[in-house]
Amino acid sequence: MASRFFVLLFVSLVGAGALFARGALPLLGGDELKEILFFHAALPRLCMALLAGAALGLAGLLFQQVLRNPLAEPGTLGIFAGARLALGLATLGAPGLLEWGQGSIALAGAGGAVGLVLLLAARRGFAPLPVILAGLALGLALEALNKALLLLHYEALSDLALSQAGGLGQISFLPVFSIAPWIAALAAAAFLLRRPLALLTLEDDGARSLGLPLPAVRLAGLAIATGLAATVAATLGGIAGIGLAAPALARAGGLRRFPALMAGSALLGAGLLALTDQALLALAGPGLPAGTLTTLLTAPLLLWLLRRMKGGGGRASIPASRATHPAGPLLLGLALALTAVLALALTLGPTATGGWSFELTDMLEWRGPRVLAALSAGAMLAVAGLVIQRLTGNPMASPELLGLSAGAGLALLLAGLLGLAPGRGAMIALAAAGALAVLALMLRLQRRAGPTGMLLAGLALTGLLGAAGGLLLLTGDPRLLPLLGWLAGSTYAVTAAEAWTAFALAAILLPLSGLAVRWLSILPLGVPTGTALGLPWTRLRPLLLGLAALLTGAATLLVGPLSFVGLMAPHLCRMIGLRGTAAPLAGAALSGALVMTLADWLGRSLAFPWQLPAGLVATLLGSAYLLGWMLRR
Amino acid sequence: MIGRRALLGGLGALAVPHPAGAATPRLASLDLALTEALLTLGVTPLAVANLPLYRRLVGDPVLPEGVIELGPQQEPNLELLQALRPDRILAADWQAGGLRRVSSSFSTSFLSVFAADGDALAQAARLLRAVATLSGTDAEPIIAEATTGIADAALSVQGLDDRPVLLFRLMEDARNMAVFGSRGMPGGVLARLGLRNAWQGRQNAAGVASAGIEALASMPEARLIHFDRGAETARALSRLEVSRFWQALPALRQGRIAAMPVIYPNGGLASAGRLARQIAARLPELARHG
Repeated sequence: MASRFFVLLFVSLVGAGALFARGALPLLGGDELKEILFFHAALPRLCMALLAGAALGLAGLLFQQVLRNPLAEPGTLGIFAGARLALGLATLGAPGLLEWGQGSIALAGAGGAVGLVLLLAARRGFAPLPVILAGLALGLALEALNKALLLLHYEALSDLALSQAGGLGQISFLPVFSIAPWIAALAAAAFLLRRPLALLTLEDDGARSLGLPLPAVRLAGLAIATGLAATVAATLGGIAGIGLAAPALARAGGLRRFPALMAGSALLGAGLLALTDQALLALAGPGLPAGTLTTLLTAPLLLWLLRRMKGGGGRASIPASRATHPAGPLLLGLALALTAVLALALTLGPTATGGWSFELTDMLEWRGPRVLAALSAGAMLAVAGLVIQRLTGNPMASPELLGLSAGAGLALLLAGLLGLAPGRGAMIALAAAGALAVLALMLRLQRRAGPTGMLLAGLALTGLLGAAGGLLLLTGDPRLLPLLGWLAGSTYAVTAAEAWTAFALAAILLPLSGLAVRWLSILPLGVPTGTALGLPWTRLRPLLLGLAALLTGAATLLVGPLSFVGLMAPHLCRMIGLRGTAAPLAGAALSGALVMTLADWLGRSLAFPWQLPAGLVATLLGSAYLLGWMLRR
Repeated sequence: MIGRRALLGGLGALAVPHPAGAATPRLASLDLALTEALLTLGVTPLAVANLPLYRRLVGDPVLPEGVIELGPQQEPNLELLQALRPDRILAADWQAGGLRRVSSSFSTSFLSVFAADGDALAQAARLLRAVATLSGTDAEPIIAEATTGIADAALSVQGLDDRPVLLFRLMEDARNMAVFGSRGMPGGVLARLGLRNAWQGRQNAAGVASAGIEALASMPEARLIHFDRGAETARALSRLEVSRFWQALPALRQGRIAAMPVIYPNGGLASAGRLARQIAARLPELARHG
């Protein structure tokens, strides 16, 4: 029955209560100021955690009910990133709006994000996994934008970034009082709609036969859930994961009926967030925001939920040009385009006076290493993407989306945390080992969770890396500062020697990938077929895996973990009509190099004399491409 | 590590003395404290990193029009530096790691901005001397003037009771603040003024710590001085106005709190002198309240 739910609820609430009593009760009976500290800091903090947790738990359940999707929650739908972007833009462009109220600004951002996700998933009939895929991808894109804004306007936005980190500290009951009526009203609306909402789990035909205006009920549910999440986002910032965990635990705890699930998710959400915050407070002091920890825990939670889900979501196909063009002219065209971009990136740049200057050799010393590094990294990522797409038979697989780059990054981060200072070669090996571990994990997961489930897991890992990076930024450990620059994907500090090393590595690995071409050509037919054709699959597979991991590791080291070039480049080749095996490989390398070089040049030129990291610009280009592609499908 | 870099920078400065009588060297500064030092010495740099931030956080001495902006302090624009060809680049030692490529192509001096021994004002004087040597100017009159100025300020706060003073900045969300410990320039000014620093907790290398605003409750005796940074501070104060906790702070009830114009906490002697004058002007009045 539901007894397990009550045990969970009891444990979380009593745990939070006990920690609160231990930390805050001694304030009572002290002097007057201590008492005020209890009543106007400690107590509102606990209340805020309970209130926000309840709102997020309920919002998560409503999203899941309306979208029929156990993975839906504010974090996986891009809501927090959207709200933060809206607040950031308002701070920069119209600070007057902030005085007027953060709530409506955050709501606009959150609503925009949800609307865009649904628009993206509409073509697939709102099937569960594509919705989350769109949400996570949009979240990444919006976070990239947030990061770019913060880099360019650090002084104006750093205070906002701190207040949006998901911390629960309070200095009065006012914020609690100001959001409580909204949350209560939205919860009441959800309660009034409990019957029609409950029927949404029926198949559409069944619900329609009961006379339900399905679109209206769905829209109302979405609006309520978005409102709840935006209210929390405006006041506290991003607290992902609670909306995922609370409903999942309520279900696992034995609750079945929808009204009971609503109450259960809200209560468990309250308990979970309060417990997290009080535990953090007791263990680490007031410095660490609860939101960073819950966001960090979202990735393992998503993985756990995925294991319980059936696969599905189907396979996506890459739009291919109908006509098969001869490869020669196409490749020549790509090579010419790359040459043109190379020439541009090496010779043309803005000047201090606002004009442009053309320098044949004068700037080579500065532009050369960056261009060479971007070029090599782009080519390697693109080929890694092609290998992985063939390896998994999934056209959406790429080093970034499968979390290989995140694996490389996490390995480097771990080494940094352990106080190791690996040399360049060791760093490449380390990054490749991280990528390899993730790739092996993903291929295991593919059998269980299906192709889209695998992508979700990869995105969850990428989110984990982002959250870890954010946490590091808050702790401000100086040993890790170089890693933060790397996370953003800047080629600024690449030396000529490092760039040439990358180029040499690419020059060795790309022909090796060419040798794998024959095997790749058989792979789309599926593993059993390949074995039947006499392919020594068991021996080739580790080789291919290692190749993809090494390409990813070396490239990630130069341009950061999030470029989407590994996704884009193979697609571009298919779209322009490159067929067969050798031609797509060469085409992917050329177009990957092209995109990354262009991103580096744009990053150096757009905000001159300020600069955006090449990896960040590529992320913006790539996620725009990814979202556009989802929209067209 | 930092010490050795500073030493090497210093030696470099000695090895390439500025020829007497030549035109003022065209210098580029990559750190706000170095920009401040140059302007304090009356040298207008050719180009500086993060020019808008200097105007916003330091402001005085005024950065003349026509100085070229080089982009962020962490990643100053190398192509622009190449085009400008300054005679010498002044950078802070903390930037050395990321600027390996700069130092191999331009004559660059990495100077210690933060005090390894925790005496920020002595470090600021050393820095000013090093920058004077590099720019062919004389730091001694300015150091003497600043020392006298701070001593004068110390006189005017002498004889006040020995309540500690907390220097801090409210963050926009009004839940957090940056407090200034003994190691940084603001803490150094407090020490020279003979005032006790109320912040005895941990601090980073620059003498700054981030703390929750509830930490103010643990310093009921202190006089509170916070830096007004404009819009963010205004938003923070409007949030605090309605906080019982804030209103209940003894310092607030007894009028022991004051806001003063923002001072760049990593600034040099000019900033230090201005901070000392600001404190000397406000503290006796605060002390009359209790």
